[in-house]
Amino acid sequence: MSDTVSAWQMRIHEAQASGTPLRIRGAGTKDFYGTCVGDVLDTRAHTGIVSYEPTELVVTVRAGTPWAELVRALDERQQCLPFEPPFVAQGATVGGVVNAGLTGAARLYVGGIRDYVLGAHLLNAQGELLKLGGQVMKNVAGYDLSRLLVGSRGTLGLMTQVSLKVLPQPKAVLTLRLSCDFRSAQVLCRRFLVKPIAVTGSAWLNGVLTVRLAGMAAAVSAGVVMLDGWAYECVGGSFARVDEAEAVAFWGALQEQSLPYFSARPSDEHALWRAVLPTAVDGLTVHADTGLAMWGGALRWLWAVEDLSMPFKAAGGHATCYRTPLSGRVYPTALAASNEQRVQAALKMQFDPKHIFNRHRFDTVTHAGHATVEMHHVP
Amino acid sequence: MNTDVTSSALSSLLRALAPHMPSANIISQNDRMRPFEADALTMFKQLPLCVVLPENETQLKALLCACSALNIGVVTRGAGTGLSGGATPSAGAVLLVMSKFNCIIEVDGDNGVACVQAGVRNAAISEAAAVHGLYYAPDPSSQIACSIGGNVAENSGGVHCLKYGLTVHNVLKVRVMLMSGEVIELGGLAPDAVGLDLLPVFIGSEGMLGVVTTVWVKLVPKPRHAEVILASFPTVQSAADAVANVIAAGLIPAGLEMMDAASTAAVEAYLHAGYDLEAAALLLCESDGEPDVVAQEIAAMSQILREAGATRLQVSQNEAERLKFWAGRKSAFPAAARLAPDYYCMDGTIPRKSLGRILTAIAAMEQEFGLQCLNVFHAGDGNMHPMILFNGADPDEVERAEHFGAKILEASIALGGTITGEHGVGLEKIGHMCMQFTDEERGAMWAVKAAFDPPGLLNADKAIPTLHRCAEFGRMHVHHGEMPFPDLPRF
Repeated sequence: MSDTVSAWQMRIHEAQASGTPLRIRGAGTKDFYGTCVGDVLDTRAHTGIVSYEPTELVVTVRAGTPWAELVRALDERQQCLPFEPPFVAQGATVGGVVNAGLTGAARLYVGGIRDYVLGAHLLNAQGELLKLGGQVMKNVAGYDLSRLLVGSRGTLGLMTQVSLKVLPQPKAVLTLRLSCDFRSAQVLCRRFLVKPIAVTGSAWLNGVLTVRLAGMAAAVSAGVVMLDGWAYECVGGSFARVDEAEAVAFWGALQEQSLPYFSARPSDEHALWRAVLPTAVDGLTVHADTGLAMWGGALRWLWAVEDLSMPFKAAGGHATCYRTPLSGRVYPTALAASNEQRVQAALKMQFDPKHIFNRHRFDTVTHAGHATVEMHHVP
Repeated sequence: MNTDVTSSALSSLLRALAPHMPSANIISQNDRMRPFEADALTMFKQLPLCVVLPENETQLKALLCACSALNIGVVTRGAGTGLSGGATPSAGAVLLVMSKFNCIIEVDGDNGVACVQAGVRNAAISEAAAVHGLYYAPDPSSQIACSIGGNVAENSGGVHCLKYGLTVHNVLKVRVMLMSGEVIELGGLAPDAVGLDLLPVFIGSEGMLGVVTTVWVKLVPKPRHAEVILASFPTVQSAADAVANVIAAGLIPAGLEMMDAASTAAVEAYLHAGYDLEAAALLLCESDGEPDVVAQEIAAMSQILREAGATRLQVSQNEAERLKFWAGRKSAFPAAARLAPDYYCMDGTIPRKSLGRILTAIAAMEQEFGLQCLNVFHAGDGNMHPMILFNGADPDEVERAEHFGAKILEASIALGGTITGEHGVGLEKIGHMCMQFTDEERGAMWAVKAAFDPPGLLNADKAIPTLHRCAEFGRMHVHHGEMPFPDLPRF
């Protein structure tokens, strides 16, 4: 066991003894994403690729490794992890990416992070090192606890390393654009789900739908023909090819959340919402034709003054206040159904009875302090 | 279990259920319970307390609440095609059979989602989706018979899972009844969970966390075209290298299977699929999708296989020939059954790079134990199914076969693999769990169990051994070729 992991075990034992919460933190790129409480346990010293066999399609990497470093290693072998997590350019770490579970434009088409997790090492609340899952594609031995870590925001323990399934990079990539309203874009994008077309990203912003095709050259050319046919049917227009450099810049800025839209706060009262809907649900009447939409409209980014959690919940989705208003107004945290919450809380209690790890992390942070329900509080 | 205690538990349960379901849905006579005493791993047999077949959630709730109140265990069973004894009844526990939950509730062709009840057969989903040009991708070999609820319990895969993923990659949402009778829905049609994502830990939990009643699956476009390459190799290692080279070239075959010479000889004698008997190893390498893309991939794969030393290469010229090439691979199990009175089928996974090493090790074990072993592999993902041939009438051979099998699993773990790639732990591999996981790791699994099922009544003696239980061994044992569901192709 490395010195770092041993030192972390000591920290966990001390935290247990004193009841002091630990705040697990990598590069801190997602400090805004939920409440931060406790003494910082910095993961950035624990870096490096533990093993990488391109022909196995598996990479094992330590949690503190910058995601960008992992991407560089995969690039050298023409492989990738295609789900496009944010803040990579700002230094996001592997541990932070997995624990936050945030993904980009490709997610609906290539799968989410948990679809790529094969195994992980976890320091539990007793400081014991658990080897969860494994390093092979097919493994059904025991419960798959490694995938449970995705999106857990560090509340179940300290993930020290993770094994991920990687994919070959697509041979050809092409980006196309079409002017259309949100509803037409949604209708058109729904076809990506059920037709054999090699789409790996979609985004609608300010009346323009951008679509990315990727795969074998033949698949990309076939995709262009299909897209043009649908564009003609849906809006009577046709797609325009986007210059490669411009396309790379656009998808990069979308992934990094550095598009101007993400910082264009209309007023101090506005919050940025991350709202997710079933693909079958058409645009809601609230903000139906505004905002930034990804995943064919299933993911919406909306600046709003009002609370969006209820309308999206009513439509079978969920909305989270992602960037809080500067005015300090508090919005409730998105919550699962009450009985599912109870199981989540019971699970947290089993794993971390004293709430040592990332206490209150699922709560919304505001400038006035954190508030509302603590997800892991057992009633 | 004490007979008086059992009969009193049974009468209490029957009394509790009487107002809630017709007596026809409950079977408690021993002779009528016989068909349910095992799943497809017939070496384990046990009569349950009784067999209950609820028709709807109201009846299911009545059953689970009654069992909770009376502290009676519950083992859930789907179609009973599982190969690890996960649905073997437990003494004194109810066997809950979900086969009456057999309704396809909705196929949404516009969004590629099907909502089906737990007892619906895997293949029936694809049949229902076919009018939309869609299908459900995970294809366990038993797919014509196995139920989607069982697939969720076992995280089932299949030949195409290298490209299309396992059950966990293709299920969007499940509706689950907990032992308390409470219904929870995990996952959702809107991507990404709120809070902790409980769906992936539920999938593959072998019926220990809750009872699946309804499943929402992702449907994907049916490939318009498929072709398979049948390639011969002079050595196992050259075939293994060819597999690595295909992956290194950035190609993900729709299916990538390997057979050693002994398996080839067995199936050729059984089926005459036209396999090359001179080859030390055969590879089946499939591409599917749009015809242009398939042509491009097949050309690229053929070149790689040739450069890796393939001595013979055949590309299927039509659908009939493609199916013929696959038929041999799919009949490896019945073919093996003709060679010896009994065989043990193993199910381990190893990193692909160790394929040559494990086969060399198995060859040495054949000498050590004096028994023959046939090897068929899901080469694409390193999931192997060695079949150890022996004669069950000879106690010495039985013992040698058992040691042989255990040694293969030990070798799999030593090479960085796992004791089960797709069949599950069930009763069969509960002893081997202790080889792969520490007390602390199994402790974390029990913690999950406690969060979902606090009284520990669901399938309690399966999959995750307690500290006291780390001793049992066993494998799928086939005697005189008497396979359960003998008509199903086996991988």
